[in-house]
Amino acid sequence: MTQNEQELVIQAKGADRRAFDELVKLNKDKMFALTYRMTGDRESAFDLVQETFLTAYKEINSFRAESSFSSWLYRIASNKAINFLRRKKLLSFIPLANMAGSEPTYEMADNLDGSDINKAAAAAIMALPPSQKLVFNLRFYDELSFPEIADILNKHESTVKTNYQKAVEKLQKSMKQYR
Amino acid sequence: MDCRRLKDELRVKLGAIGLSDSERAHLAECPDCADYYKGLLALEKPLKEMSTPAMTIRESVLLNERLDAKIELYKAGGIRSYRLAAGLGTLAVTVLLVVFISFWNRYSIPETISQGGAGQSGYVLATDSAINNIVGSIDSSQFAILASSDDEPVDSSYYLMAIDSYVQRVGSGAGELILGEISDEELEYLKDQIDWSDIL
Repeated sequence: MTQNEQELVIQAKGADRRAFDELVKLNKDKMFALTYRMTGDRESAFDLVQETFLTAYKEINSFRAESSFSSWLYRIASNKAINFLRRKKLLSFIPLANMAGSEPTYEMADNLDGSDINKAAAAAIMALPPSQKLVFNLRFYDELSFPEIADILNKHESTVKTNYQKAVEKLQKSMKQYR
Repeated sequence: MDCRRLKDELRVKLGAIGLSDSERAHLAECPDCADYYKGLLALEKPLKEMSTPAMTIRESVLLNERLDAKIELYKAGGIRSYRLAAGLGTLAVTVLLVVFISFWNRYSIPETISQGGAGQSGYVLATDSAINNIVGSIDSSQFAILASSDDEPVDSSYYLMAIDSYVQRVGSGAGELILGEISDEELEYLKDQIDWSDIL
């Protein structure tokens, strides 16, 4: 945690709204990128980011500066994203919800301007199981180390590595035709 | 180096593939692993090319506005909760106090002889139950103890009259007389205190 971030956290704990707003400003893009990659649509990602920061505001006094503030935010956002995907999966089992068109839209893949291979890559990531997708995104795109991810997800490092390996294996299979 | 182990290691390294000397040496010797490595590099390229999703300016502004509104709502909710808790606390204390006072009145203050009573002059027995308690506590054998000087037996009506007389004479001091179960000592006390000549 940088000194500036540390100071902002201390001020935010003292109910300083400006300090909290600054923390939001510093971290919102990282959280949005993660939630967008997890959900595949902007609206849901936006809602999850909003919920993440609201939870952070409510719980900031429980934050012990053992890890960085962004790691703590990643933990909150990850939990919210996983819960969102579980709810979505649960809803997909309800016939009425299916009729209402709650199928995954993969907006992220559709919005890409790149070639078919890029779209296929995005769709392949979206099709990963939530826990593997989360580990993959945190490692590959957010460039966090395995110990950091293990800390964020409160899992053993070896479990995180296994999840990552499995995710890569699945991506290899999905992208086989483009090699 | 074992091929399977190397492939596992390479998968873990996707995104930041940096090979060690031993891994390089193995890839140089093993075409299968070299092919696998090339495949991973080919996979890595399109994944890396995917743009990083970022919030638009409009979304950032909207996020700040919504957070402001939700935080204010949360704060207001906190104040409401505090007020509600304080109100409930006061109510609970009041109820406990009322319960405590009612129990205190019922159990801690014994029925005593007290002043006043509709249609009565002077000091009277507080309640009928107080009289009944006294009468009920004296069995027939004890009536003999309360015999008058000329050895006439004392029945309950005489005893009530004796108590009434005693109360009227002693006044508020009679309030100290604890009613209910009457011990032998209390009977002796009554015997000494009551002027039986008024009654018998």
